[in-house]
Amino acid sequence: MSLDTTSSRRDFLKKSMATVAAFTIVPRFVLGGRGYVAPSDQLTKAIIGIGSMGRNHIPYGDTRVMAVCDVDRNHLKQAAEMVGKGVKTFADYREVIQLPEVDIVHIATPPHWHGIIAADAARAGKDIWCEKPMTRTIGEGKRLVEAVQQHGRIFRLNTWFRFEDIFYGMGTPVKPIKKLVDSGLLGWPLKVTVGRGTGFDWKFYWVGKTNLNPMPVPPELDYNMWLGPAPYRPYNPHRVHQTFRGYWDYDGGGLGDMGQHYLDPVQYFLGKDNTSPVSVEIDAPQQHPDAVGTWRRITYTYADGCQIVLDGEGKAENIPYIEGPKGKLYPGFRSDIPDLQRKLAAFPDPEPQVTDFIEAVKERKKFALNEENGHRSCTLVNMGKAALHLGRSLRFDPVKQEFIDDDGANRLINQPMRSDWTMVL
Amino acid sequence: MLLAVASMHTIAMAQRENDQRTRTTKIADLLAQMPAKDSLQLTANMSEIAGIGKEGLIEMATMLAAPGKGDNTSLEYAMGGFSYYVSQPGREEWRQMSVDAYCQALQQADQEEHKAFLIRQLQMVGKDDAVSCLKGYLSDERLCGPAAKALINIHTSAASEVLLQALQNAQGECRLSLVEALGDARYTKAVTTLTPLAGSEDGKLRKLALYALANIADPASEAVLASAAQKGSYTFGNDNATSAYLLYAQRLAENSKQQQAEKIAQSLLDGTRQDLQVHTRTAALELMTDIQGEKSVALLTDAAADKNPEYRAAALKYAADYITPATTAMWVKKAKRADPEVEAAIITMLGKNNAKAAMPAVIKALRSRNDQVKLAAIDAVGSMGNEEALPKLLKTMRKGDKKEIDAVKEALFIMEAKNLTNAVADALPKMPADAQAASLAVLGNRAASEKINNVFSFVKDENATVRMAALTALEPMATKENLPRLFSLLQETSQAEEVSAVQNAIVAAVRDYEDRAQQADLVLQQMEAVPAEKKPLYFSILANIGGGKALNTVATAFNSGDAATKEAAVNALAEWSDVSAASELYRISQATSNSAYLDQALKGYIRTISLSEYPDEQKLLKLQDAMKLAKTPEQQQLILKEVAQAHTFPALVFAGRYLNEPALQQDAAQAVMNIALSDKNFQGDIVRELLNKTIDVIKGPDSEYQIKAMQKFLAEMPQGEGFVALFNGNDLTGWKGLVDNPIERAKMTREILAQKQKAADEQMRKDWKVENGEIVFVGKGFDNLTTTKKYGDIEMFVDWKIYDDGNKNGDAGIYLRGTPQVQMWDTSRVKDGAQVGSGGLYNNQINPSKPLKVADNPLGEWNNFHIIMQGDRVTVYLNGELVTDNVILENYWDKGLPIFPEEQIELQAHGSRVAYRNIYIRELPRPEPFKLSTAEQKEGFKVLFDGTNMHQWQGNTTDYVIENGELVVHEPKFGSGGNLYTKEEYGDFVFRFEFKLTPGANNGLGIRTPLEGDAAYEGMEVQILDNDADIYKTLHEYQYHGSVYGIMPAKRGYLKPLGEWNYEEVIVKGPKIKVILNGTTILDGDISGARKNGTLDGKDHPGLKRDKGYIGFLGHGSTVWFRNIRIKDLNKK
Repeated sequence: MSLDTTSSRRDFLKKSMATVAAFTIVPRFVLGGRGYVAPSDQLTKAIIGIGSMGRNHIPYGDTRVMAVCDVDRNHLKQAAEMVGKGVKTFADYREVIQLPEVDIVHIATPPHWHGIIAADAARAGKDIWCEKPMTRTIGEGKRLVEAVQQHGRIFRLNTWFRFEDIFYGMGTPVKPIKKLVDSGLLGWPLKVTVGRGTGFDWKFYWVGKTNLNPMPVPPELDYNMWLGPAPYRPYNPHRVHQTFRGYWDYDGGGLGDMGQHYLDPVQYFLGKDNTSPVSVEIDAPQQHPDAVGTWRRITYTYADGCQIVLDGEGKAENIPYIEGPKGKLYPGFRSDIPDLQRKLAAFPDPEPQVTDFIEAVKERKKFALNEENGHRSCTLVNMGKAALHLGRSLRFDPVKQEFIDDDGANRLINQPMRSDWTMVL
Repeated sequence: MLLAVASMHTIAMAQRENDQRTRTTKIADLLAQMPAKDSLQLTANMSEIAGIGKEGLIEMATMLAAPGKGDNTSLEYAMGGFSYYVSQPGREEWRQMSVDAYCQALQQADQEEHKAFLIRQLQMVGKDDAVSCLKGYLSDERLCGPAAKALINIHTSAASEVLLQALQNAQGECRLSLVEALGDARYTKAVTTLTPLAGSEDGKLRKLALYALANIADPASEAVLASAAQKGSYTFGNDNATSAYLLYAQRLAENSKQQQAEKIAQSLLDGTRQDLQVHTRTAALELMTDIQGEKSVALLTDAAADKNPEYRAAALKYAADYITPATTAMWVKKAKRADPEVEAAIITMLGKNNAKAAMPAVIKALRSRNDQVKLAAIDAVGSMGNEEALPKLLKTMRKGDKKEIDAVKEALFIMEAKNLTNAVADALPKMPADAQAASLAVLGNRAASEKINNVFSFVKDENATVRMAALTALEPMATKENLPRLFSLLQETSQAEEVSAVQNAIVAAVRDYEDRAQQADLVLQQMEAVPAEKKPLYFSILANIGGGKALNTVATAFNSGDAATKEAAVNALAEWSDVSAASELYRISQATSNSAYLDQALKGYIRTISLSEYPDEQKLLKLQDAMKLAKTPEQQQLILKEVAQAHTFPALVFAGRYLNEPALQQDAAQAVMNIALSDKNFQGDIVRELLNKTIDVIKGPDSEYQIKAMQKFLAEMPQGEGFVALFNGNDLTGWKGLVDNPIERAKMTREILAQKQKAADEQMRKDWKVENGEIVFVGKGFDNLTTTKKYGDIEMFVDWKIYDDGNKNGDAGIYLRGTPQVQMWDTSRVKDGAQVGSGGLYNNQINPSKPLKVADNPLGEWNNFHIIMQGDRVTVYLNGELVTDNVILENYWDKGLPIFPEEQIELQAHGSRVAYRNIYIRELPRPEPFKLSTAEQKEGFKVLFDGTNMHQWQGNTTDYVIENGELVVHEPKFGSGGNLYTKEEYGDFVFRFEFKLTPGANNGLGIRTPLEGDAAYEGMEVQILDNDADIYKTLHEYQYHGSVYGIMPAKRGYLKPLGEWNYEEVIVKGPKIKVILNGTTILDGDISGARKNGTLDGKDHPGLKRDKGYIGFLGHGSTVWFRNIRIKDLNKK
């Protein structure tokens, strides 16, 4: 019998356990307890989409990189050098998600691929760590939620401000904000303004170019695979890699990029993880059908009157971040409520969240930011994109997750994909 | 807002009614308006497209240029925008028209890219009416995909039928598109055609055929789908067969074929027992649960005990939807018989789902011998909340290990139960140390003020953990009653962490007093009483409370204390709760030789500036000061990060100076970019140069976008040099000495002037020096430094500083148009009235001369002026605060003259030492002054308003202002806007002027009026009124535009549409008054009758008797524009 030199941890497990009659395979999460990571118990991952963002994922989560995948050979080469010997490289994600030695699939492709790859990974029994924005359309989000839940997978979205770190311009983590909102000291309903005046830069300059000339596809890039489900358009370097966000086919500009970072925590502390707004209003110049442009203001309204205002250009200075009938909160946790900290101390902390992804995977717990609430915060982004794209304000049914009385808007919810990329449920 | 919509609408309609333009011109005009700047304009533009109609859309499509051969941008905006626009409800007619147009255009198009573009439009707007024209493209290799997508969106049986027909002969990519499309359309008739494809060798085709069959879910497909899934071992394969099978079952269930679906789910549950198939089994379990509903609980309880933990977890997740007392009983029963691990998981699930019926079992589980079960039970009690369970929980804590204590603590944090804090406090004494610490944390976390004495009894506990827990718990609980105890506690505490906990508690307790000063006094009093070495303990408390006394105390301590005192003091100052510590921190940074103090103080200073509410201009001055003291790159970087937040032109220039320093380059680049991009008004060569440099050096993950953004900003920046530096920082190039005043200079011959200039320049070189990038006056007496160039309308920035001469004589200023002056002085010169502050127009006699507020920085510190002068008006911001608001600058040299249209700018020296720096100026475009026609000149007309000054006018010159060469009175914030009168009186005259109205606007031309009283009665008022406005429909005719108010009616109907200029002539001669509006005489009357017999309105008009008076504009609270005002005085011969 020849030795398999590429023998993986799983192969080893299979072989050694085969001798123990009582068990066929011992699942990885039974070995060792919490906080103990034996080398053989370290979870493994593959990263799909290994451009500049994907390379950030290499050290995430104290897991071992087994494989990387990209449609650009230069990206693969760079990543392989970074990870070191032994990492497998792939051009087709479908081979990656079938690798038995991989526990978690990281997805750092452009957003038009997120839904398909994540759903396929779920069907292949992988847990998923997906870049923001979660999906490019509301329809893809709905299907992804179903796929993840149907197959019992653990999913996390790669933004984290709802549970850790200082929340950008707020100068404070989100936890005390949540506590304040829950306390009712600000009253209800609340209006949250997210924009430069409150410390959040929408990167409104992340826009696309019109009238691009067709150019030859560089030899290292599989452009057809890069496009995947997106409509075919002639190649131009501005459409791919670092500047793809400027095109509706793949994302939605600064709103697509920063939107979920900024909005997810807001959705969390407003307690809107299970619902969506009933309307979105826009103030923006007309958008090009292909290239994303800038915008001035997007206003979401929930059924209970809570509002989220996205201030695009950030002209308004010194505006409160959260405004309620009883008080206002400014960046740095400043407030017009005297002695706020002390008043707040009398209220209980918000419920703890599951914030360790490895723990979530091992113990099959839902991660703090998962497919469900992630889909809802991504819906905020995608509702805004739809309204911008169409140039009109829209009404939304948060239960059916459809726009009300607007065929055009609903055609943006489920955009047909290019063969053979489909989000089969 | 409503008005704006209405007027937009009328304009659009008006254009269409009398539109003589050809279609091509209309299209060209329309494209020029793309993209629309907002939804209002979008609506207008789209109505225009609709107006041009089908032919117009087709013509636009033919205008599309081949890729790389021209710019299609505005065409894409127009057509794409129209497609989106008509896809909303209520636009059906236009939608049909667009489908017609796109279909026809498709036939004419020759470029594939154009066809794809048009098909994408049909994807948005098409319904059954687009099917026949899309059909043809299903056989085209490149366009089949887009056409299939469009047909999927149309989603009707006609669309599906076309797709199915096309499938018969389709190949390659196109076939894939069609198969998928038929699946998406759930077109049952396609099943027979699709079934053979599900066995194809081509994996892609097989995948899509399986998907399509599954989605259609015809029972006839069962065998094909089942065998494909089985072939794939019920795991993922590239053909996605397992998923297709699951989808099929799901669709069956949706189509009321539950039994068949259940059968599939069951077979999958049975057939996927390997661990590698667990995700499929999980999916089958979910499917089954969905179908069976509450009846699936038996299945779920079994699944919860499965050997595969992943499967178990899934079962417990699905169970959440079906928790009732009955199912809870089933779960409890299951838990009792299960392995501890499973039991624990079930208890956790029940707790999370608030299964109250499980409470007895959960309480019992608190005593379990198994750790996992016990912890799960603790969590569950916490989240379900139950008073009876409290004693049990506390007992668990008392007897538990570290893990259990922590779990109980967490549970008590969130548990809803009355008496909780009582119970915890009562249990405290008997708890072991770790449990005591945890209980103390609970009392603190729940802010149980009434239990603070229980906590106090542990603040000196022997066990450090307990002690610290007690001290930490104090902060949220402490009230003012506890202060004496806390003060003595502070005295007795020594370890740093513990001290800080007590300090926090004291701050919290002191805050109980409403009055800030009282808070500080209390702490200071206490501090007085303690020995010197204990005083520093109070500094951080004072920093938290703030106030002048507290600040003095800490500052004094820094100055006179020992090393430990100094350190505590500088730390406290750096963390001071408000901006008041800024100057103290700055002073320390300036004076200290200790680099640690410097670092602490300077960072504190920067932090304070950052938190302050100062205007950006003021922040920048302070940050510039800080930069001078900064020693390390870290400090400098910190400063540049703050500069980036100050969105002013001087901040942009300041940041730009560091673009060449390697350690600061990136922060400088971010700052330059941030500031420049924040305002489109930052224009000109300086900005251009700085942005180009920034583009060269900027790095970082977003740099690609940032560079693009800067390039876009540069491309959109209007031409022109914009702001230029008036002072080069090195010498006095561009400046000269002062010769006399503008009037005297104008009288001098060129030779004499040159001679005097030479002498003046010589004097200047003695009196003015350039040092460290500053211009400093070092002379004595009066010797202004003047620009060599003359300036008219300008915007400028200048920093200035008056030195403390010790005699309170500090005085200087900026001369504009060679005229004194925007005032600068030592505000302590109370005897001269300097307490009003700097920035006023000191020499004004009639118009305001004092600033609106005092915004001066202390003597010896830099100040910043932002000055805007347009026409005869001056606006001044001092350190970012508006101090002079559009005030007329009077001609000091000759009161009879308006201010000179252009003259030199002068930096005044008034005997005291003064410095200037950072002088930037931008010349503003200046309206061409109105000039009389030759005919009017000959006739003896005189200009009253030429667009550049209001020298001929008196009265309300604040609300009547000049904008773009027009005289405008804006809708005032309060009152009626007031009246503006001529300076001279007129009896008989010809008065010509132009005016423009806003909707509902009301003003009036007063004639022969005194300066007081109601001009309509004390004099006469010739109405100026938008009398077509709805609000005026009940007016009397003697109130219409042109009427002599209340006396003689004018003809209505000769006003130009709103927004256009009207030309009016008013001729007054003896008792005769004639008004000619836009060439039509609308009034030609005689007031003699009214003088004799009374007026139309029956009111007393004493003004009828006057034969002369002032002419005036009589404001009535609305915005009106006037221009080109001239008069011929008929009394002067």
